[in-house]
Amino acid sequence: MVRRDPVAVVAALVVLVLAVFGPLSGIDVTSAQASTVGDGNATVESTTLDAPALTVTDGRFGATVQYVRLPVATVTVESVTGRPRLVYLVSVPELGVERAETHVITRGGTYRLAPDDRALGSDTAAGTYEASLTLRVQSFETAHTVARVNHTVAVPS
Amino acid sequence: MSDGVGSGVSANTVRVRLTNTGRWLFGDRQGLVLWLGLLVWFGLTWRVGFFIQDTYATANTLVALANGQLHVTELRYSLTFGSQPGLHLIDGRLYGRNYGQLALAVPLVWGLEGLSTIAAPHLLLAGLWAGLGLALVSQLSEFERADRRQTRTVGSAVVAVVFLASVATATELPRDRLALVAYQLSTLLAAATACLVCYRLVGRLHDRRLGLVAGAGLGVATPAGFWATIPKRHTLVALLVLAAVYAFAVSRQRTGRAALRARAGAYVLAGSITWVHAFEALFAVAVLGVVDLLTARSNGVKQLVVIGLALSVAITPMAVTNHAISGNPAQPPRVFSSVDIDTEFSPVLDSPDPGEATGETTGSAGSDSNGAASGGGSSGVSLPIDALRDAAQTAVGTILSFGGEAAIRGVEALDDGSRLWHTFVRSGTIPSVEYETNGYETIELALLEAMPILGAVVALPVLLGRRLRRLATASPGTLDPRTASPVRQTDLLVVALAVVLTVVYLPRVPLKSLLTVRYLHPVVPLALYGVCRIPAVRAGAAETALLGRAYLAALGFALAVLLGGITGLGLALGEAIQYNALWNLTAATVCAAVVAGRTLRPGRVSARVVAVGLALPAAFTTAYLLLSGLVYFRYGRYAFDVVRVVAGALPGL
Repeated sequence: MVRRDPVAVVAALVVLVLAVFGPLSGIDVTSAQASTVGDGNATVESTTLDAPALTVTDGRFGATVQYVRLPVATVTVESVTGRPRLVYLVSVPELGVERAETHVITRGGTYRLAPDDRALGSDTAAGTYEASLTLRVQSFETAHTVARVNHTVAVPS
Repeated sequence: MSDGVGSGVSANTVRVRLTNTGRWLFGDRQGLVLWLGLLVWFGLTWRVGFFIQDTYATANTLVALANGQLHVTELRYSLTFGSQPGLHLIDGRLYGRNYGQLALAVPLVWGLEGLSTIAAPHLLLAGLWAGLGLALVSQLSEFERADRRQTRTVGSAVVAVVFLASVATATELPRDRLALVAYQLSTLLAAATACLVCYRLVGRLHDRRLGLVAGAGLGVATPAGFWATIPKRHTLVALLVLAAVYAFAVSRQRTGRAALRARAGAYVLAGSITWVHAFEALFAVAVLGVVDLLTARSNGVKQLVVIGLALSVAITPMAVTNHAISGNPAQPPRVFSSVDIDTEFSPVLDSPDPGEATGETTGSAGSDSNGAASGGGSSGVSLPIDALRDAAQTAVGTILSFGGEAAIRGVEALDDGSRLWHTFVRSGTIPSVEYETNGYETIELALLEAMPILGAVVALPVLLGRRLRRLATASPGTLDPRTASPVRQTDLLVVALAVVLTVVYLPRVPLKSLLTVRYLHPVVPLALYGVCRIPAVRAGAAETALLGRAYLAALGFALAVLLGGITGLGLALGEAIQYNALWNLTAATVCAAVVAGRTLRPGRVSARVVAVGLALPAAFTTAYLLLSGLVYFRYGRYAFDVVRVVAGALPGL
């Protein structure tokens, strides 16, 4: 038997895949993007909201701005129906800080939501500010808060 | 043609033609492999999306251009309701800018939209990437040192796995994004081509091995990789400037007609920058003109006529575009005031006829005096003497006001130590930059941080001092620039271009959203050429195998410390960039030390040490490019979904 050139074989494979899943055949392989929320609900077993870890500290390595350090939230989900999402919302209204981290879930387990730290303008006044950390389950059918903690954060001068 | 022999001969002729064309473009197989490899590499971190706000305006202009008109009537891409920043209102119509850059992308828009009728858009990109990968594999297998069978088997297996993984994880890419994809693809091609030209330039003046190191270095060890998929003008201008230098070098090595052809080519390349960005073109052409006329063996009437013709040909597309837009060939849309965000702009997206939409989308001046010509936006066929005189006056005025002022202010800025420090050496938090626009994140790098291999230039003063001493003792006859060697003449052009293209932008840098001081981007390949001209660097690069191994090891180290910093220290975006910058500066210092050591005491510092000293900054730059693509800057959607999956597994900020 003649040994075929592997480059030609793969080239044929590529063309074949493109043709089979192309507009002419109508077969779509597009996987539903993991970030697309749908209907459904989730039962949350436990949550960890480390509010004291919400602090304002100076930037390092030459980034001379202050950062609001946003703590990681962990959520243990017992069961899931459909495609709901977990929403972790951190807000410090008087600083204009509002960060939401979301994660679409399809099965139970422990999820970690780590929002990015938020830099503050140099005109931010030193003092204390009220912050809230909220965990919610959302879908097109339902929306409910599973945990909420208030916290006072200090902006050093 | 119908008989067997005839078709055999013609097939052979076609093959010879193809080989000759390939040789003219790529030089040799090594050049082709470099080009293909860098396309594959740049594609890895390609995200289909808008990194910089100005791209919305130019991408919409590309949509218009692909539809056969210069003015924008459809806002396919928009950030906000209403107008997009960067559009210019002229006679009641909205125009974009950088038409030369957009023109390159137009055939790609057509090609991709055509192909998308056969293949789904998101799979199309994976398919094209796989095609590139296979071409690379089959070219690699032809090298004498490669095991042909094994290379083809392993290589195509890797391509197949990556392709199938991309198909399995594919997410949707709407068809209307294809114009943006084409726009990015044109920039990617320009970036890879700049690396190819770098290979050919250095290979021509030295040897192919050093050329390969230089070409690959431009792709992985400079910010060229950062801007390869971001459709700004900088990559294209950098390519055209470097290509003009290449043509100049060829003209100095050849004689007779070939030399004159190359010389004209240099002017065509530099002159065509006018179609992309007239301001930068002005300086590129002026510097080329001065250096060329000063160093040419002959400046006879014939030569001058050819140069003049070459320049006229090069600026024709710009002049025609400007004339169609404003009626004045010397007035690019950029000099007209940019429309602000409040300008009334109500695109009739569902209008079947773009021509019909014109009246409604142009806001203030409903019916313009230029008549109803929508195709091409031409404002008449005749070009009266008055218009020519106006054009000449505008051109002279523009050159004097923009060019003169930029040069004067640039020289003044040389006095500003803080500005120079933050532009060239260390960014940190730069006092004059408005970080607010980018969420107060310190994402701007200085040139040395973005390209730490520039640490090697510490050897230049030493080399310059030696050269001046030698010149001082030389006889006056040898000082004539016309008798200098082709390499020296090319050096002169590169230095002049680098200095001028830097100085004219000095008053405007540092600035927000320049990331790697992108206004100085055309200088990057020139600077790399300068690094390659240092004898100590050449000695290090000659240890190519060691250089490659050290680079891979250093890349592993760089990724470990940078990712380790992100997770271990809990770095925020601005901190992570500055942390990376400090590592890059450390690598630059090591590089500077070994290159300076080798230059001053060649007996004490071996070439192998220099190779390691070059690998370190190269690896940290590659790590910056990779992390910029996978961790630091998240926008749009990855061109290859398998990369998205990998990026998702990496630690986030």
